[in-house]
Amino acid sequence: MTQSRRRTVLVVDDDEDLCALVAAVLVEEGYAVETAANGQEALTAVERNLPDLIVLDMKMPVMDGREFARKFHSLYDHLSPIVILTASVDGRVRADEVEATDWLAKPFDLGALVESVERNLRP
Amino acid sequence: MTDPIEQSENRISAEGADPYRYFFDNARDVFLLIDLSGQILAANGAAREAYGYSDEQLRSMTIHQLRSSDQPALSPAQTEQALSHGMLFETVHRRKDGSQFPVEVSLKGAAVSGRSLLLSIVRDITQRRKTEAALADQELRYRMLFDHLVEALAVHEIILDDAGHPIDYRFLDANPGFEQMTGLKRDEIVGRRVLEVLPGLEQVWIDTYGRVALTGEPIRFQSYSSDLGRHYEVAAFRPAPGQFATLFFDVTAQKAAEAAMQVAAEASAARAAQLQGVLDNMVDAVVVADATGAVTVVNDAAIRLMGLPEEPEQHLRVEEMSELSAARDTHGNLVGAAESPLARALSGDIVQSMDLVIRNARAKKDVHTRSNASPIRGKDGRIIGAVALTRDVTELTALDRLKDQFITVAAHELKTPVAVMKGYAQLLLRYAIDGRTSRREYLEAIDRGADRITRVVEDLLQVSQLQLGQLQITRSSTRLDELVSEAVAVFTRASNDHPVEFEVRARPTVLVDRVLIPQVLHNLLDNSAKYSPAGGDIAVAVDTQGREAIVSIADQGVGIPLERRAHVFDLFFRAHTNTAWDYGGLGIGLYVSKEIVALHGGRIWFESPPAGGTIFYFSLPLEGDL
Repeated sequence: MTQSRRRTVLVVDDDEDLCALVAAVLVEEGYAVETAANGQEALTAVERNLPDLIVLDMKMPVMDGREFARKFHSLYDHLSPIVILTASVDGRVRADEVEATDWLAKPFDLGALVESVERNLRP
Repeated sequence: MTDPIEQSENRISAEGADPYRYFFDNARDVFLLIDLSGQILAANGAAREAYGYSDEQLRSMTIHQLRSSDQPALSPAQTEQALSHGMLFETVHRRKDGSQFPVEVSLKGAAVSGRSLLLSIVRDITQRRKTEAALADQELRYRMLFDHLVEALAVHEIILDDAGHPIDYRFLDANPGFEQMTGLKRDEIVGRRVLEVLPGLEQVWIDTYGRVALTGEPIRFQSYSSDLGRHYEVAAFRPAPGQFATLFFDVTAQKAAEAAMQVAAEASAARAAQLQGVLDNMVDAVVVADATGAVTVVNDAAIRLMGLPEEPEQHLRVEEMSELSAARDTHGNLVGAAESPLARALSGDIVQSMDLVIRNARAKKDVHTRSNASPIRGKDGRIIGAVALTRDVTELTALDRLKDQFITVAAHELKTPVAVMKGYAQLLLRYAIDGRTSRREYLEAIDRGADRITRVVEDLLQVSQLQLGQLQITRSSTRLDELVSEAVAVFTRASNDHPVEFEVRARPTVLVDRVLIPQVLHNLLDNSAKYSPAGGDIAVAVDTQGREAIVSIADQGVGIPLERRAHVFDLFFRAHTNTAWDYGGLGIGLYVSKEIVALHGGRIWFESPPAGGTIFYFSLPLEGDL
């Protein structure tokens, strides 16, 4: 990678183990990682520091992925690409619904996660 | 040679009077002079009157044209016989207007100027025939009456007092049948008064017969002779003023036939009632229609299932019935009247397992039905009706949907822990993880993932056992406050976000399963924590009320929306789906808790004040009260 600064990824998932997993992988891949346990926390994190990409779980308490995506797009006009994590069989539909750029179906492959994050980061 | 008739006519016209001609013309019988080919040569006035033809017309015709077409003509041999010996026979003749009448024909040969002719004297015997028929008919009737019907006959004369009231009657005549029936001898009773012969006779009989003799109004009634063991119909009429005749018709056979019919009718009514009983006790709805589409049989189950009106079932028609039920297929498309199972069966189809959703207007609900229908055929194979059997499969359908939901929910709920396990395993494989701590953390995460999968599977198994009624409880005498205290301690160790306050207001002893009741507590505590995302205390209390121990778990969470409260304990129900957030979970915790409490003979309920928060309660019978 030839970037002048490390790219930042925000991982939003209420499942501690899953959140920690995604964070660990992305740290291993050289990204700066922030985490949030729900949509509400994620909005606060975004306000503080707009990430280069958001990995977003859909099903969360307080504010779920759908609601976060809606608010994020209206506040930041799609500034950061979103990759959603979903247990749904029709991930494509879910992704379109929340205007995400990509989706990963649980249980996902770490290689696929890394590849998706790299692909969707804007140059 | 001149024609003798023409000669005679000439003579008549010339001389004006001829006794033969007069006789010929004025005879009441028809006179026709014909040649051997049947050509009419002369006809008299009676002939013109009888057939309706003019003299000229008759003389241009043959005798065959006067004879009814279905009557045989004379054979040459018969003509020969008529010429030599004369002949008398009956046949049918035809008038000009086409009408026919029976005749007697007397045929005689006549040699006129060496030419063989026939004189036919025809007599209309219509009246004679009628009389003969009437006589025969009357004779037959009387013969029938005497031979078969009249068993006994007696004639009497009524005796009146000075005021003209009947007080007695005298026997005038009686037949052998009467003797046999009454045991009274004709010779001994004729001329004697009935009160002499039968001193015990009730006055009502004298009054009754007296009215017949005085007014002439006949009466009929039935009576039974126990001596003869026969039933009689008795007719009394007035043959002459002051007299009455009694006729006894034996109606024993008729009575027996009536009784037999009565028995048969009762038997058939009993069979019909039995059949109706079977139909009405059937779980399946039965509807039968005749070939015209009129509904002829509807059992109780059908009335209930389709919400049909109780009374006018006989007047319903197949198409009205389908209109009433507004049947839809399983995709929600309306099914036309001609496509209903019964209508299809009437047109010859055998319908098997046709699933329809019908509207029960009376119960105001939709019913999922499965129908079989088939035509009913007569001996000749023609369709004489159709029968449809319909079963309510609403519960079955709901169960089916539940099963699908079960699989979906389970698959969905298993995906996160599997993702965790797979992810951490790959993490260890993919990267050169250094440092013992990280490796240990990842392996612990995998272990937790496996535990989560196990919990989901166990929960589903438990639901399955509950649904099948196979969950066993093992009761032992337990101090409820201690059991709750332990469960709270276990919960607090696992979740430190929500402090739990525990209050013991009573120390009841209950007979409970020491694994399942803590599970109920865990489910309720877990629920309280899950729906109190902002944290907040959870207050648990043990108390007694009457003969029950009561446990309460109060949180300061989001509460339960009003419209969803009725379903809180339903399987797979989650109160907060389609909201701004989703709490996840299988939607089985409260269902399982309710079932477990119920198995212990207790109740479970909740309060959710508008201000927020929810309090769940469950009760258990005190030991000794179970």
